[in-house]
Amino acid sequence: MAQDKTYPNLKDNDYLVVTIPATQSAMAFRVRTRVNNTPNLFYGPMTLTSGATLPTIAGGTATIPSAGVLPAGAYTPVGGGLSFPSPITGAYDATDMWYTNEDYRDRISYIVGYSKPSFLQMGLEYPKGIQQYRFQRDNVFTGVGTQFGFSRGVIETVQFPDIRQAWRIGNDFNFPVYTAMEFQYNELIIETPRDAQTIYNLLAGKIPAYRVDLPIQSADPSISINLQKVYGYTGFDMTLLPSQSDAVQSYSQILQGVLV
Amino acid sequence: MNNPPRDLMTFQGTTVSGTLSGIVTLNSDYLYATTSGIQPPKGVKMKIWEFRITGQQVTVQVMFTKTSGGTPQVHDAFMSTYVSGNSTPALIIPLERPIVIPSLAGTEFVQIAWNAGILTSNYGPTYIEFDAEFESGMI
Repeated sequence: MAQDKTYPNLKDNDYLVVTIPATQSAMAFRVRTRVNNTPNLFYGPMTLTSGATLPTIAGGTATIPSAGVLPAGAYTPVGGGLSFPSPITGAYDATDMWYTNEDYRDRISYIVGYSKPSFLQMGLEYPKGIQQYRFQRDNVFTGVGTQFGFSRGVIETVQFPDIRQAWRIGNDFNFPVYTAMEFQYNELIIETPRDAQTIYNLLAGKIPAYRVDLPIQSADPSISINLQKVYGYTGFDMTLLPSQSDAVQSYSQILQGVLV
Repeated sequence: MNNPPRDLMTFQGTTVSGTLSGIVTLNSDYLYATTSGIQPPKGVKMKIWEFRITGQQVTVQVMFTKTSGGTPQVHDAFMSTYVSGNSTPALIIPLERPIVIPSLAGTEFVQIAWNAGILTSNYGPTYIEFDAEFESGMI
């Protein structure tokens, strides 16, 4: 759709709510600071390997003719999502510049990926290798390479430590294109608000917060396992919101075990 | 940055010297290989904003078929923007409103054709450029 949406650069003391639809829960953070005041990173050509084979929307396959080129009608399949090695050596994981482990639990990255050209289909594997775009429970798998369930040219996400995600792209035009990626990223030092009432107000929309709905429609166990390891909880239960007292009581118990 | 980002893509092509009419083979900075036409996916609007033409005098037509492989038709009276240049100055045709070609079925196919009309011959090539963007959604 053509509605305008602005992707923010978060500031000190902003609140960030990250929802996980599959578990009807949300993570809530207060931004202590944004480390990088230069949020734009032009990555360059996408990590498409010359000679590799991709499926096509029409049902065949296509060979990548040159590095960074996406053939006509081709898309990266589930399990074949792209990772982006750091352009500068020294990142925690040389193969995926956004990935860190639980030692970085006080930092998350809010990331907006922009494709070039801007008409490419975009989606995420969250976690890597898992098809998350679905319709009517699990009746239909949607997303990149299908008829709907993708965005064009831009997609936002939050990178938690210890969870790998991958980026999927598709070209449903009739010509092969050179591709590139540009990121808008916020490396945020965060903390969890320690007041259960504040958590409730954030999730209920009574305190302004920027909200990111992760494309997690299937509760892959690894997400909860890793969130528990990194943050000491797997999310604040949003089904409790109709009852403020129940919600605050639940959130109070969770906050006792929060790690950051 | 804002959503939706939309590149304004410049497509280029040339006519064939000595040939009175034909379909322009298109290239662009983003294209890895040339194409004889553009087939926007279902639900995408193609918008053409400006033509830049130089070289031999020709009529440039935006051709359109509902189905790829169908007989190309001039899109309509406005779309078939009549462009007659001459060999000396470049001719720039800015469009106050874009030519909008919606892809309703995903089979729509857009081509750029040239026609030298009643000229006795077409001695040299004509260089044709146009700017287009692709907008997702019909709302």
